[in-house]
Amino acid sequence: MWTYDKKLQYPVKIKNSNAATAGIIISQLGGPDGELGASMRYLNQRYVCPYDKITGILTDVGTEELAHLEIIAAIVHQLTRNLKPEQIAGTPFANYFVDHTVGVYPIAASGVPYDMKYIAVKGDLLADINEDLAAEQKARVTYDNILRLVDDPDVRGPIRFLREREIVHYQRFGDAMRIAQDNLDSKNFYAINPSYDR
Amino acid sequence: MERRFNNNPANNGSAWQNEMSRAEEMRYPADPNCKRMLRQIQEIDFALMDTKLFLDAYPRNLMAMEYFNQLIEKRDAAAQAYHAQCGPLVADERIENNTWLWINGPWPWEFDAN
Repeated sequence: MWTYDKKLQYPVKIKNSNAATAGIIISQLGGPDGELGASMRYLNQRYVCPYDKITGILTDVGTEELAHLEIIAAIVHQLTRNLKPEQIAGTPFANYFVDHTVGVYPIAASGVPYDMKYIAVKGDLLADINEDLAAEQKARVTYDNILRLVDDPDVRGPIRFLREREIVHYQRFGDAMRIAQDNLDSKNFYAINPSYDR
Repeated sequence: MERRFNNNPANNGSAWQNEMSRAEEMRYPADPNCKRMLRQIQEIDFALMDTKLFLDAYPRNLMAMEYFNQLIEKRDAAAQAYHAQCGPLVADERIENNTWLWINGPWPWEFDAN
């Protein structure tokens, strides 16, 4: 089970509203490589993970992603909290506003609501860890793209923190891959699925 | 299929096996005493959860607050005993004997943990 800590993992304090920026950043909440998908991916892959060290990594990274969801939501909230309708009209954020006002709804920048189809749980250790490694890189690229589009330092600070965490998580999943492979020998590589064949 | 991917002699000398230690032998909630202690914590925590929800809506209810504080005391004692004898309930607990027990199964969703 989970408990909630009443704090952000990294502080978010954004002075200036910006509808267009909010419409971009929200992709890391409900987009294809966003934090909601990240946390659902790892937490759901845990159940058939055969090695305790990897189960620990999936649990702890998946939990940290929940904290990242909250940071993204805080950024979107603070970017939109003081917006007047005339600051929204004519921006891409108007399409979001008409359905959600300034509520925080997990959706991609393209306007597609969050979809569990973005993630995979294959029930095969090597397939799942490769998925995780790719996911961390895709999320890192998305943060790189956000940093290319946004120049407000109040927004860039937490985004850079989150980008850094993608890199750290990639390293940990690299460790997970090594642990998985150390448990397979030359005869059973790809021949067996340690999550199922026991 | 034979479980040949685990404890395989072909893996001798690999990093993970060299790390084998008390940490990997101790699958902590498997101990019946630990299971009993865990069940007690689950009961106290459930009462805490329910009282917490009630207090969210009635934040000035003195009876609920008193009950909540009684539960917190029970919970702290039970959690401390569990940590000392069975291992960590949350990752952020002081490490004893240079042993990282957090990753030790059975994990909560496993048959053996319940």
